[in-house]
Amino acid sequence: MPPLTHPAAADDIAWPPRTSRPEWPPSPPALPPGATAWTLLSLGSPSGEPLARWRRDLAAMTPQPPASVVEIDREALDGWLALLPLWFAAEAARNVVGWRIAVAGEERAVLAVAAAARSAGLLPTEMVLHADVANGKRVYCPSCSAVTDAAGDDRVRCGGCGRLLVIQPHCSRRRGAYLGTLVHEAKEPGDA
Amino acid sequence: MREFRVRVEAIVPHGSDGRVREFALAPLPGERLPAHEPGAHLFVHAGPAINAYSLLGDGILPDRYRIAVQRMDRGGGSNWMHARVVAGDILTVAGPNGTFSPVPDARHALFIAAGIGITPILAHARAAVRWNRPFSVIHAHRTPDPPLLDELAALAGDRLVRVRHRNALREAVASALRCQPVGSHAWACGPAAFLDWFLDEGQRAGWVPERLHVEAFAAPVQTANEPFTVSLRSSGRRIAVPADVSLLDALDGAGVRLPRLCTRGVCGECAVRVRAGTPDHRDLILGRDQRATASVMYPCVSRARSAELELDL
Repeated sequence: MPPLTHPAAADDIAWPPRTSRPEWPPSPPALPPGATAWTLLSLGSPSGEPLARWRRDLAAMTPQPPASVVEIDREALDGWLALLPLWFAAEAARNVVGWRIAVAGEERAVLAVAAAARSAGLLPTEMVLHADVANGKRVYCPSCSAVTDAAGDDRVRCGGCGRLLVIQPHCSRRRGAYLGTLVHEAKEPGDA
Repeated sequence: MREFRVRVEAIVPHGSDGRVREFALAPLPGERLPAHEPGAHLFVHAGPAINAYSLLGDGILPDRYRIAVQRMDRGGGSNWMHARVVAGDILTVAGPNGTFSPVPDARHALFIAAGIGITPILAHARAAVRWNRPFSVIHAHRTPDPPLLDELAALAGDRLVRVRHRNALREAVASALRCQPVGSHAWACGPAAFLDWFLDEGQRAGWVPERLHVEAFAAPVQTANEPFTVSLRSSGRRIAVPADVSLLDALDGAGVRLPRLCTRGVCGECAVRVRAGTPDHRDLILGRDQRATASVMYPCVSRARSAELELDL
């Protein structure tokens, strides 16, 4: 029998029900102790405050674990994200178990890095994530599997198949993208 | 947990000192053995005790179960298995179950076996070979002809590191824990003191608890006990548990009979939910990182840190 854990006993479901939409607290979480190496990423963060906070966290640790820092400003972010899967795989390959990442900035970039990290084998407990600005969403098209950057929160036209997608409040941690669903665009009466 | 009967098909002694015997267990005519995860154990009604023995196979459509029993010379179930059981005997078993399972998406598996702790590691190595999963093994032994090592060596080839004695094992494990690829998991089976060290060393090397998996090959040694009181949620009834009586026995005495099998904190059959108070978890089921938040306890071995516990009974 698998052990049951609290606090949320299975019959005590909070209302309203949770969605998979990520929620970000107003300030970045502290870096936990115990890691042997860190990579800190600041991806279009408007204030840079999370990175500054995490640097202070590391400086206060003894021994202080080595950290590499990646800062990408807002203008360069799209290009960087295009190369992210390759970059992340290389970064993971030159590290060993004990390595953690901390990622701050635009939500779409934070989620994309978290997805790449998961794909490289990191566990959620080995990532510190903090989005401090929304700036659009990555949207997954269930029809053609393309992921498209959406400027708004409402609808986007799929970059893969051109279908119009409604952005749902459902976020896949594995893909780092929100779910889009098809809109049946207005048709003339009598159209098939 | 389902109990069923098996026939002892063969008994094979291992090593020169005769302390380990392998038992091949076959299904009764017309029956099939349940499949299981690699690293699972089987509960065997072994005379005076119900003992858990790791299964040596990887559990896919098993036509035989193989267990290796080390004689402990303490008059327990293992002695009974050595002294009394002969080929052709029928044994009552239960399971298989366990929490020492593979992680299918581990990027690399580090297996660590100390002594007879080789038994579940052999199953893991077999599964890793079958599914072409990357792994390496560290095996420590004291005798020159350790049981099952030839079989492990045949599976692992140059992925096997053999060490002798305790300090060499700790050195090898400490250095391995500092060079595993991102996404690795580690599994260790051995004496409880070694496993405690392994969990601490893993933490020192930056491993999160989810990546460290342990299986003890002996029931935990019970430490000095304090009396405490439990109350039952349904009736408000209060039951005193003296220092020298297990909570499970105290509940029995009060007419509250829970299911049970091993009564040593391994099988999980007697699980009961705790509503208030702080249990003192002494079982081998909950991981060290789960103990602080677990809402169940195993009253066969676990007791209380608070003066009183409220149980969901």
